[in-house]
Amino acid sequence: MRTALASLCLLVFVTAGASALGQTGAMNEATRILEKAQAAVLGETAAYTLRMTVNRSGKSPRVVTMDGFKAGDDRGLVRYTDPPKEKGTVYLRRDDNTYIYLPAAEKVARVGPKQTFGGGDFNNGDIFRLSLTRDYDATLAGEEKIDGVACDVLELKARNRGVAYDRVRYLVRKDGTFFPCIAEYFTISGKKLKVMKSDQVEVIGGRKRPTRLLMENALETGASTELKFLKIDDHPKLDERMFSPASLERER
Amino acid sequence: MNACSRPRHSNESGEVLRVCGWCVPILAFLLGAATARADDSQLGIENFLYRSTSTLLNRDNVFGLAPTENLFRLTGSLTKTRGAFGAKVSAFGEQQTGKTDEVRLTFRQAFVEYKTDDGFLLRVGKQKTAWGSGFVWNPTSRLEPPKSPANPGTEQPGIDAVRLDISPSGWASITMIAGRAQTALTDLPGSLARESDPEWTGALRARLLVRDTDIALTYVAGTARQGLFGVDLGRTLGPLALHAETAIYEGSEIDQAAPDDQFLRVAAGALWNPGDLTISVEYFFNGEGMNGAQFRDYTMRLDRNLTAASDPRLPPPVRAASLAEWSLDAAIPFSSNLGLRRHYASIALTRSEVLSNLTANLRALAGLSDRGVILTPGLAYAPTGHVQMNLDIVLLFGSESAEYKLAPIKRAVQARMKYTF
Repeated sequence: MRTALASLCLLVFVTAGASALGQTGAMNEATRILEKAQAAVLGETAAYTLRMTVNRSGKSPRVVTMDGFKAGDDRGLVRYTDPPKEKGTVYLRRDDNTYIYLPAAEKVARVGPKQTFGGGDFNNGDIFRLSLTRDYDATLAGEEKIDGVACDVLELKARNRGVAYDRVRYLVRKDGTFFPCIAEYFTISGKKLKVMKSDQVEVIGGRKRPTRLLMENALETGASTELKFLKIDDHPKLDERMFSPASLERER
Repeated sequence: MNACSRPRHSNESGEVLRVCGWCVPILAFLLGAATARADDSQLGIENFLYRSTSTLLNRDNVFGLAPTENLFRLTGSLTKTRGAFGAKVSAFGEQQTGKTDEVRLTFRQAFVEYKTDDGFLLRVGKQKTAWGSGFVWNPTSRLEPPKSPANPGTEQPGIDAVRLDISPSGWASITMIAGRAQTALTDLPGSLARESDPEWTGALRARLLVRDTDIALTYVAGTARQGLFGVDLGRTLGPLALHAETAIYEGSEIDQAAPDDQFLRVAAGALWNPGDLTISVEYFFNGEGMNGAQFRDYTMRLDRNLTAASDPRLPPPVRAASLAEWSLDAAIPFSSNLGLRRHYASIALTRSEVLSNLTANLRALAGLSDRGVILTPGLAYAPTGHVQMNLDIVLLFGSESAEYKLAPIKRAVQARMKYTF
């Protein structure tokens, strides 16, 4: 009897352990895919030129061109270069802090991570929080075909409520490129907020990558924002001090 | 009372040149020509229209204001960058139409700089510091004219200064400024416009980012300012961006006869930006502000001295002394202070894309000590990527004895248009 009980305990322990290991394995695999998917668009550091087009039904599209800089997962700076009336507007992300410099007001102001970026459908977190692996727990949740291409489906759950979205369904191409295809963003109650599509794969900055991100607002018909990379340099020399709020106070 | 006895300083500041009317087209031509060589350039017009009225301060229109005072400006700015070197010139030619043909040329900024990505900056010339996290009130920034509380969007001039910035790291930065501080209010019509002597002032500011909190420590002192020690804090809490800016002052800004007074000013507020809407709120405590009894004494003193100054039965020396006293008191609201009372609040709502390229905003400023209110509804329209137009209306409400109703202005319309090349 004692031997039987010991065997049962061992069986339960081994099964639970194997199950946990399996889950961890799936999670590790999901995290690995997510890391590769993130690096597929922009590397660890980058200097880029971006064109943002904000579409609203019944209104003419608003087009803004900007130069951006990225250093690691928590340093980002974007400076508007066109249209002339908005030129000089700067967004800065440093760790969990986001700032905006408004040249018309000659003012540096803090803004929240969930606030919209440049009046479009991306929020500050989408633009600057480039490390999904740090903010979300990822698990593999199957496979789907998008435009005939097989994709891994990743379920991302927010680690804390400070991040932009509570849950993200993230699809990554399985063809070895790890290009992200679609990301669907949800509230904690499961309501779909936005859908982001990554496409227009082109050679830019010396390698192939998706060059267009299209964010569609699920709550507002006809509302979408397109980010199109025009230029990318994956190896710029960036001084850490350019990503400081004090640097915004030196703008003019 | 004639114009000679208006409460106006007689000293001319160095940055304002008096030139004749035909200089406006010449200025426009020069700006136009320079535009072709600049990296960034703007040309614009500003028109501030004031409807004047008699108030406790302007009894029987003692300031001699026309029923409608108009302030017309032609503005221009040029920015040029070559490597780490840069320069900026921003100026306007101003005419108080209907009052005089004289055009005054004022430089808002005119500086050269050397700036690098590692946080070093040396800037020499007329410039703005524009520091402080407060939206409407900046108690730590007392080097240049304060923003107009009714319309903080209007541009204020800078000061002649040398500025040096050093950043030992990404989370720490030090700014040193030595310059000629000038904090009198601007954009005032006719005889209310102030011209005061600049005061040599030095400022030191250390800015730190510690545990996601912005901390700035400021010290300002000079020939006319004994000392100002300020602390500025900023932090994000969920969707809100919070700030608190406070300073301890030595020396009254209202009462020149009280140079040893020590008082505190605090501005604290929040910014929230749900979608196309931006909401900001701010509270301001002005430690040197008058309480109800002091303010009543002040307005009664104004009335008493003006009555005595214009009483033909009194001997001339008595009338002159009364007029001098009245002039000193009447100048207080337009000189270097951030308000006459103690408690203020502001709320600003901005809704972008109300219609295509149209932004609507509403600012409300409340004097909590006397329930005076200034409402400033406004529209901003950008029909193309080069043009920005702003129209703001300033409306004053409250009882006749409220601070905001002292202003000899019933309402104002501020129109601005800017073309960016």
